[in-house]
Amino acid sequence: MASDKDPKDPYLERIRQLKPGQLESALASFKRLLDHKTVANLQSCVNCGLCADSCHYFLVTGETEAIPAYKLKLVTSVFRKLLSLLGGLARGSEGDGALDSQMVEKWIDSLYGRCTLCGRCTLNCTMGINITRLIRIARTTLASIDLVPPGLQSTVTTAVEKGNNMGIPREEWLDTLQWLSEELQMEVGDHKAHLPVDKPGTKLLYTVNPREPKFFPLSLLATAKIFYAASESWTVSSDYYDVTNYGLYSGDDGAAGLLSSRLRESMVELGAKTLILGECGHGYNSNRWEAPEWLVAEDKFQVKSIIQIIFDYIRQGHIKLDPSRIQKRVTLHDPCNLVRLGGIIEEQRFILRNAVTDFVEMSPNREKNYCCGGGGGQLSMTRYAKRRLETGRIKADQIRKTGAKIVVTPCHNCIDQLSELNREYDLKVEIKTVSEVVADALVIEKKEK
Amino acid sequence: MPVCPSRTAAFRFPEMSLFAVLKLGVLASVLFCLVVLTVMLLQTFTFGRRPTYAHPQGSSFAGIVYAFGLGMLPWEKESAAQHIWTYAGGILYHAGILMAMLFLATVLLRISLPATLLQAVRILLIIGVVSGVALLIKRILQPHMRFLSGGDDYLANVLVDLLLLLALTATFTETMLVPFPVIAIITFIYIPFGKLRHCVFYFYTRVLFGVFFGRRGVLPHPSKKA
Repeated sequence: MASDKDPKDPYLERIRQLKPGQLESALASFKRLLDHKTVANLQSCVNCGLCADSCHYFLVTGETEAIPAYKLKLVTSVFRKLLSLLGGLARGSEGDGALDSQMVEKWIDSLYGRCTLCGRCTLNCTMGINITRLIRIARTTLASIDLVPPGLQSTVTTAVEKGNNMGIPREEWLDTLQWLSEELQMEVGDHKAHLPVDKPGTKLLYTVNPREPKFFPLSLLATAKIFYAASESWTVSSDYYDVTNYGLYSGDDGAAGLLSSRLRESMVELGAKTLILGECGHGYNSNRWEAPEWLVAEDKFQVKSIIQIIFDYIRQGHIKLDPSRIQKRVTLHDPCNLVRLGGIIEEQRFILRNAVTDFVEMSPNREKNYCCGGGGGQLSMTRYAKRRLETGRIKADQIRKTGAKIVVTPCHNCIDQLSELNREYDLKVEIKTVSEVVADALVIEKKEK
Repeated sequence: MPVCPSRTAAFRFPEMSLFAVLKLGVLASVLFCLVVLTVMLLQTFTFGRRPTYAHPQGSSFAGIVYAFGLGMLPWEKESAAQHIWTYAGGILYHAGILMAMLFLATVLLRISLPATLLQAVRILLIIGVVSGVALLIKRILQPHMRFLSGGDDYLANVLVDLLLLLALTATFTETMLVPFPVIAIITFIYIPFGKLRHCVFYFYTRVLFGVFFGRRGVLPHPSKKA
């Protein structure tokens, strides 16, 4: 594994050998990405430093390069040098604002390597600056000259080339669905129960994180069981079912738009009414909020999270739950992209209060919750794995303080990171999706023949 | 009891010609500041306005109201709650600045202030100076703040502290009625070129903040909407 300190790292070598033409091209991309909102944000920081404690990287490491205001300065200085009347007069710790290979190295180290795009600094900025958005613009600038860190880039490339980020062949996906249909029939005692594929005209088109069919098929089975119990009209696509979109994290708007457009094509082809995004925080943010901007078009159908659907099922009495089946203490981790940046805040709490007997909140929670450390593409960028696990300490401490035995989170990325934190910090907890917990508490009633 | 200099019989403004020059200078610097800030604001729109396509889940308007209302309260924002003295210092500093500006207007317009009001002005200016200096000391003493800070951060703070200090002294003695407008002129000219421009951009970014979190249904928090 190449480290960010390894002098022979070919990625770092590429940065150091950047040609003037590439840097000019990056600057041109940067300028194209600006609009009135971003420019206003770039003009507004007062360096109050109050954002420092909102960043889990700074809280754990104390490294000044992790302070959101510093990350912002890296971007602001380039903007000022390039566009403002005063140019780079105000030279500071970030340099003189020239986008040279040294600045690019700083951008990569701080903006890819010390940021999960969790939005906590944005929420806490006294000025209200959308720091997250500006950092992503810098990532997009780097993506325009092919400088996305290799691990993250390969995840995007696989999704673009293979149709899903794990490169699962179509046949394997269909085999898994067939096998899961048989499992579902056994579980619910109904030989007609199945996971419908490419069924036209359904109410819902369901999308999943490819890690479900690849590694955790029972998670997908749990959702199918809930759909079955609710007698839902739903289907999955045989071609494009991947809810993830690592283009959000890499900054590559072209790839991000392409990946989101595929789900929309499936919607049109199958004639479904609502696009349902599986339990994936960044998948929700990407496909619900960012995709229409990438594609420069309004969605002609509803885009919802599976969490909203389960919430409606419970509220409207479409499914029945028996919370006494889950006696262990349960806590909830709020995925940043679903909650702070997505606006799905209370639904998962309502669900858990109905599905378990002992639900306790972490502190802080909801939109103020700490990032687990797995977002921003960190799980794909092995070069920063040590930092990722180190900064996850805050989340580990939060979990430990609740005394919970089960940690629930509606995000497969978070589950990966929490699973690693579970081992690293010896938390001794089970980690589950919301669907898995609901499926465990589900009371299946015999369907009329 | 202290009395407003402009109310005492003995009080005379400095040589009319000098005072007129200063008055003109302040007006010109304010005009300069406003023009440059307006150009900067308009300049942001030259980068284009991108329409938003995602269907809203919440209300942009409610988000803006939150951004300028509840969202300003310390318990709503961890960065304020955990740094309550800095938060309080910032509020009081800005109250002092507002007072200095109002006092400058009364000086230039030769509006006399009642003694009790003048006392209130002095108290706010003193609190403002103390807050400004405290924030400067914090910036100097804390390693991460030193790391973040550039020349503009120190200059802006010192300039505004001086403005408040000279405003304060001008409430006591007419001899300070010359340096006070002079520092005000320098400050107004400097505002657009450094972080002091936030006097305008703050409102811009807070609106954008409110729109962003408002339309996504994050703020105001759903549990507080009911």
